[in-house]
Amino acid sequence: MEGRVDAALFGEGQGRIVVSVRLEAGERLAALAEELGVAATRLGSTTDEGVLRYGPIEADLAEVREAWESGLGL
Amino acid sequence: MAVEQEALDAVALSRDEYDLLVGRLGREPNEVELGMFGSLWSEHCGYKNSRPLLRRFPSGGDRVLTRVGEENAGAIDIGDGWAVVMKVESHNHPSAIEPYEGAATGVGGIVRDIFAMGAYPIALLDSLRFGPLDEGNNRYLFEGVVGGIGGYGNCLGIPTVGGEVVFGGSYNGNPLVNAMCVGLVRADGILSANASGKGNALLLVGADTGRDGIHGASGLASRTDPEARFEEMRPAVQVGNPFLEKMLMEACHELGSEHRDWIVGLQDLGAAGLTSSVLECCARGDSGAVLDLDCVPRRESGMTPYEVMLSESQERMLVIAKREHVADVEALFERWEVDCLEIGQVTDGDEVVLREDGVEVGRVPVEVATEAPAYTRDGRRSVEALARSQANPGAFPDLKAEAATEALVALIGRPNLASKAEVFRQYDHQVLANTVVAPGGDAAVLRVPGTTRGIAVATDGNGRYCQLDAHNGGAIAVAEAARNVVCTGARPVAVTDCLNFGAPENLEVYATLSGAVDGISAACEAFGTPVVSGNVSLYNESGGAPVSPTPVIGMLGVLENVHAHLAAAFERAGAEVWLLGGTVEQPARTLAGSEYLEAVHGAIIGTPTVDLAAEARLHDLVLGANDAGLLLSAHDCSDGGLAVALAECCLLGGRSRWRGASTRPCSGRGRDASW
Repeated sequence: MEGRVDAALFGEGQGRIVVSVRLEAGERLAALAEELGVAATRLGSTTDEGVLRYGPIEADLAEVREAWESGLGL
Repeated sequence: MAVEQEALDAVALSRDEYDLLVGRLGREPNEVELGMFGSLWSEHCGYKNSRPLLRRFPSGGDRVLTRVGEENAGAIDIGDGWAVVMKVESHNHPSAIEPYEGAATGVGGIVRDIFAMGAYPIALLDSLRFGPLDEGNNRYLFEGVVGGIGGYGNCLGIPTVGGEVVFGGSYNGNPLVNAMCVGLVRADGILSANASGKGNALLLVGADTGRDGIHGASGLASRTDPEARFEEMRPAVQVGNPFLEKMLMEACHELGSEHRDWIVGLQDLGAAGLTSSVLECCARGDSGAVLDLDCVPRRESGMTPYEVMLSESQERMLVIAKREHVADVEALFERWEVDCLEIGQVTDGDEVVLREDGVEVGRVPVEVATEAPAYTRDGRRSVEALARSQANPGAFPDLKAEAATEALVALIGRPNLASKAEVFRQYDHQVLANTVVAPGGDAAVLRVPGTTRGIAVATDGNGRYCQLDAHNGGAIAVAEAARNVVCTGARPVAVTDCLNFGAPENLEVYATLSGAVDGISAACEAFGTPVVSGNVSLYNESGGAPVSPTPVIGMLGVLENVHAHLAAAFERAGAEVWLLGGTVEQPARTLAGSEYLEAVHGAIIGTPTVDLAAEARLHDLVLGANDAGLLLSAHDCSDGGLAVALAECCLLGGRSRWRGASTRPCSGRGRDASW
């Protein structure tokens, strides 16, 4: 990744959707995307570890959940 | 005789408008007539500042069963003989004064708009904006509004399935409370709000008429200095009775679905009460009416004709019944223990005549009253907003990689990105048992009983984007709402909109209104989603400054097979995670108007953009991939960016099934992320 870290992680570029697919379906999804001229990038896979790892992020999901659920400060 | 300025101010008419009225009337109006004209020519009822702009919306299409603006709500054919009726409406000003009752009666009003069409309301959504919660008054407004929505909706037995809650400084003391309702009706059973057929009866059903809500339309929602008058306007806020509304709803539904041949029209009493309801029905039916005001059941004694005609007491409907079935209709309402009284009849004239104890007290030509003047202006882009939109988000130093985790936790804990479970758990979202995807995801999904079909509904709007670029912000609101619906596997089919802006006389505000309408139109064209209904709320101001321009889009999507619906959460470990429609690397300009930029650098700058053609292709891809059975989940990547979207996919999986995501197993293929 050569570009800006902030834009890659927190930029709000439109026209993007995150999907999850069965392992064997990824290639078919990519082929369909190519047919329609839509960019498709495999980001990784889901795990049972309770940790979000993406690029420079390694976040304990319990900690993320705590922040997310208490954010309204009610 | 010159009318007093004070009398004009009371009905929010300008001197020029008054002169125009006298010219068209050929005489001076009396007090009750002036009140009626003032209300009908107000922005709230007459759309005098927005009507010319609204004509720009694409509003036609194969599925559209109503003409926009002609009925209480828009109706869309969803197949299998069913239609969805939908509309979103604001109750911003009443909610600023009396948050609980303001929001509750907002829900009540939009629900009546839906069942007036013969539809049974099946879902509510609420798009809310408040000032920051660390200020006491905003918290008071927030708690009142959320309580009012839950209180009224829960009593009615209609699930509240979605919406948004967004915070921003410009909404200090002027919350935006937009309520959307969706109903179902057989496509051949849609009712019209029409008064025709000489001698047919005008029946007022539901609540007695009181002094509440007088000048709601002309005063609260139309005045240019609402704040100065908030305290004295408190009696202008209506008080709701959801239990009566429930009976009214059930009775009207039975009337419309089983005895449609008894009536020619059904209309709710909302803004400007009897005045707008009777006159609009007469305008549609090309007829006149005579009203006997002494027949209107009253809550208080000594009410004047003026008060009776302009009361906005809630839970009232107007039934236009065929003369030979008046007794049948009365018996039906009696069975539901809802009052039903004949208050007048349809004539073949072109005026609405008011009588009290047999004496004429007013005479209003239908055409003059229902054709408000319309104004167009040349908007002027704010110099300050222009400069901010031209500033470069890339000028700020980049985030250090080692600070990324901390930044994510901080960002997702901000009120705008945080979980809204605390809000929607106050709402009943399962009643009626049609809810398939409940609040918290991208869009709610409901099944259509008796079919394999489903509908998806979402609302979206971003005042920060619109502040920077109203055109793009309007287009993005449509794009995001459509994307939300697509993420459930539904094809977007139609839009209802609520335009929340400041005073249109302010040319900078007008420029944003006009720009947003153009942006919404462009996006609706690109996605083939006509605007079928909507509402405009102007004069939203806080501390003398307009609120951020906030067009709210309500999007309807249709699923041919509701069982194939998708949700946002990662469902299982060992699935591949893909980003569709964009690359991992993003240019600095995508930080424009972002939550990150405001949180970290305290800046709202840059120009948010959307590529509508690319967006439409993305929707086709996701819907095609879901039809092919490839997808396990789908989630819109927008507010907070990709990192927040990934975290939400993990968190929405539920406490007992925390999922992680990892980029580590990926390697060796060109399409893989290159982190």
